[in-house]
Amino acid sequence: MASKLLQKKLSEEFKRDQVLTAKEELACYSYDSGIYTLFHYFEPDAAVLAKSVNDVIKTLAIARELKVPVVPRGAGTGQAGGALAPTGGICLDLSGWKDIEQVMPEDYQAFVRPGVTLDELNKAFAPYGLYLPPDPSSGSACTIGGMAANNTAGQRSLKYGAMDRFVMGLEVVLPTGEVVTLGGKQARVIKSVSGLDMKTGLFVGSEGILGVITGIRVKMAPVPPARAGILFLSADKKSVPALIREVYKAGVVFSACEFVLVQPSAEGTVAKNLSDLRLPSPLEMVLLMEFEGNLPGVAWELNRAKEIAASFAGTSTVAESREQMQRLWFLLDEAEGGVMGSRPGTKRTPGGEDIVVPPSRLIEALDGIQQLVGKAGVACVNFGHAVFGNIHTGLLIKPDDAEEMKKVETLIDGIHALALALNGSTTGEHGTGIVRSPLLTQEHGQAAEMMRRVKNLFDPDNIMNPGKILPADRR
Amino acid sequence: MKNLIDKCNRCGFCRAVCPSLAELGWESASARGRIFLAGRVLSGKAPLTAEVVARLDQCLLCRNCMSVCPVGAKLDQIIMAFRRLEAEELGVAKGKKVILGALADHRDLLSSLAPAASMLEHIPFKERASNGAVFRLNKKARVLPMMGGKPFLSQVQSVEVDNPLKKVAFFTGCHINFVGINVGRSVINVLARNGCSVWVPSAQVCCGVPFFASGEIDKAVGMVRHNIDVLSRLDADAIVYACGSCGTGLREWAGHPEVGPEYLEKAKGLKGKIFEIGEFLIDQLGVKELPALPKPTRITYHDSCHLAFTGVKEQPRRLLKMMGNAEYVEMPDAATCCGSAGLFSVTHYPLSRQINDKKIKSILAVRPQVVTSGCPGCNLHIMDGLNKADNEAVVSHYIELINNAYECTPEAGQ
Ligand SMILES: Cc1cc2nc3c(=O)[nH]c(=O)nc-3n(C[C@H](O)[C@H](O)[C@H](O)COP(=O)(O)OP(=O)(O)OC[C@H]3O[C@@H](n4cnc5c(N)ncnc54)[C@H](O)[C@@H]3O)c2cc1C
Ligand code: SF4
Ligand code: SF4
Repeated sequence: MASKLLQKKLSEEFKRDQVLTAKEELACYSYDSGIYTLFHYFEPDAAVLAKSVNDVIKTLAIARELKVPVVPRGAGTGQAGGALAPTGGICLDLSGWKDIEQVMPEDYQAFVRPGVTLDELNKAFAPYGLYLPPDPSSGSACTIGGMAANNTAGQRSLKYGAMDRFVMGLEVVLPTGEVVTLGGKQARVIKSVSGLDMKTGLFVGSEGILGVITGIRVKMAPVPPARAGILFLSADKKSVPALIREVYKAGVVFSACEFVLVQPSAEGTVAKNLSDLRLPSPLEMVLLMEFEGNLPGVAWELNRAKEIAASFAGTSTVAESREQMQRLWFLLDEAEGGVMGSRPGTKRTPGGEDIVVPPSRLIEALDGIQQLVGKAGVACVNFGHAVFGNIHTGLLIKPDDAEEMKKVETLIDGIHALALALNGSTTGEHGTGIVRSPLLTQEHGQAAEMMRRVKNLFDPDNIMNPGKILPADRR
Repeated sequence: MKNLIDKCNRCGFCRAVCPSLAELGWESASARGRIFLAGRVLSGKAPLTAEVVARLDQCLLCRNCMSVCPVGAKLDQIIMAFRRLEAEELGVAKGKKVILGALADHRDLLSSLAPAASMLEHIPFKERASNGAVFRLNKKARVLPMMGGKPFLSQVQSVEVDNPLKKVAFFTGCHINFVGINVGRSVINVLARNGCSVWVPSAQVCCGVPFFASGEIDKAVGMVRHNIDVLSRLDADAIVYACGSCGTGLREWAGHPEVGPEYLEKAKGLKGKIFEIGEFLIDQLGVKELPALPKPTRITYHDSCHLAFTGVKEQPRRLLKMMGNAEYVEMPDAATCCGSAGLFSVTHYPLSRQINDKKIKSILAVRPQVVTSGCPGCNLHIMDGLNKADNEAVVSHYIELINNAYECTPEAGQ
């Protein structure tokens, strides 16, 4: 009944092709790219395709009046369930609002609407030799709004940082209907410490629980001219953190430093995929070290890293240009693909997929994950951002096996608990969402309560994306 | 089928390339949404209703999503399985039925319509006019049929050259046979000019792609098998086609599970023998020179989705750039869909027009005199769009333009 009223009100306010109420349409807003929807199915009561500030204001007004949730959504590539509607309400689809309103290459900036994708923005700036450095693998599809809301990082965030380093200003619509510009009312600067930093301190990474991001002013950076790197196949994973430390200490600044764990059961399939390379025995880990910058600098970094790697157990393959680097990235993917071959006939699904541990405890954490995964009787592929100790775990599971899925749920809890036990964090870049919200107090203690107070301040009616970051059980 | 559907991990990467999503904007118009909806119906979680059908029918089967999908999800097979169910339970839409019926069972009827279709020939330069070549910019006046207007298969059987470099069989496909007759003629001429003997196997039938796309899998499978039989019997060095979609039919659809292992095995014998015309000229014949166009001409090239999917992107461009007087300009977003998608442009004209409008904008941005592509279907739709935009550019298959250059240049020794 309530949903009928909602649909009616929205239909009165919006054009026909902006409001979706048909079952078939709403079903397609029941998922994101995470594991959560393999366990649960929820639909919003309606979806609105917003393309202006006014559309957002109107949507929020109806939501306030009827006290129904509003779930902002970009491309739905998130993995934490942030764009799902567990308690119904309105899914606010911002992915079609694609205006790049201001291109300001002389000031290294752009002002864009939330639905612009990372690739679209970079394409618009390519003629000026500028780009937005955070580079999630989902960059072809994910939106700048989603990236800001999730504080998205990428493979090269080691050198450049995540979105919070690049968001210089935001326009947000608060659940109360107020439109606020953060980062300076008229500012077009790329540096400022004026006032409380509400843009990156509060809204970047707020996953849609404080308000709707309707405009993003981002800093763009020059595309580095040179890239090089080493694919190191380690015969002794335990020595990898030391290798990374040595290279780092030598003055080399990685642009990326990615690993794929090769557990013994996967060695055969990985070796097959990498058969063009000289393989060490055993093969325990694949490490990709990348350097980016100007040509002489990169050549020096490559050389230093090569020298240092030579004193560690393993083999190296070198790339001296962007083109050659593509091959190394491809080989890293192949290694990942090889690990997936260790449990054929399964579906790879992110679960407990984004934990971070202190860099020195990377191997300890990986061993812990392998143990938990073994106990659950499934398999997994572990890869990620080595210097940060950020581990992505892709579970190789059989979603139709109800017994197994029960174990998988326990397994995911176990991986998150492991992270906290190792002085780590449950998420490095994918966000808290709905998946990790139950662990908020465990991870943050008293600070979780402060977060709740902040949310109440902005959103007294709790209509903005409830149940995300902060668990739903109480307000 | 379940495995096909489960493969999708909902990463959403395909959102970036889907032409219908770009226009419609809602998630159900993405490949991810379509797989999700088809999966719910095929697994019995949701009923098959006209509502679901309407949404899945908005897919152009352009396969752009498949070329970016990291897990190799086979959207085309899923849509086909779904449309089969749809055809069985709800029947094939009337409009589609008429056209498909004509292709499958009434080729004679189509044959009698072919003369009208020959009005659609697209040749930028008038053939060796007395005062030299005249560039024809006025498409509306461009009605001179170069051939009698009978279906291609009934006109040309073979062209022999002395000491042929290669013996080539030409798979015309329906479009070239009935509509793009000058394209067929051009393929043959250009091959002959490059030292090949060519013939057109008369027993060939439709490649099956439109039938797969409409869920008439049984008929499609019959056609694929028939063509495999016909083509395997040929004593040819190569089999050449000039339509991107036919190419997918010839190269890939032997792999459809229902075609069966026996035919799949048989099709393996054809592997390495089937080429798109530009691919054949560049990669097999090593063509390095082409005659000049009679006048400086600004040319652009549109990537047909199906042609690009099979990896043919660079060869047509290289050929176009080889011609003297050709000023090649790359349009922005040359690889985005033109919205044609065969029967889709008949059943979903407004949406296909909307998609095409974007293409036309890209084309107009580089102000070409001639727009080319490797697909007769794309060309028709682009021509329609240019007409609507009141633009005078000529649209032709790139092989027609190359042939045109040959025709304006006397053969050696003449
Ligand atoms: C294969 C794959 C690889 C990935 N790799 C990375 C990676 O390397 N690094 C990384 O950080 N992430 C990665 N991700 C996760 C995800 O792609 C990113 O976080 C992405 O930025 C999310 O953008 P989106 O537009 O899809 O947002 P969505 O998934 O639609 O939404 C994400 C969250 O942001 C909120 N939101 C979205 N738009 C707005 C808005 N305008 N205003 C307020 N709230 C909003 C939503 O409510 C939700 O909580 C990956 C995902 C996949 C599937
Ligand atoms: S790219 Fe492939 S796996 Fe990803 S959502 Fe699209 S179809 Fe599914
Ligand atoms: S085949 Fe083309 S239209 Fe259909 S879902 Fe894929 S990209 Fe979209």
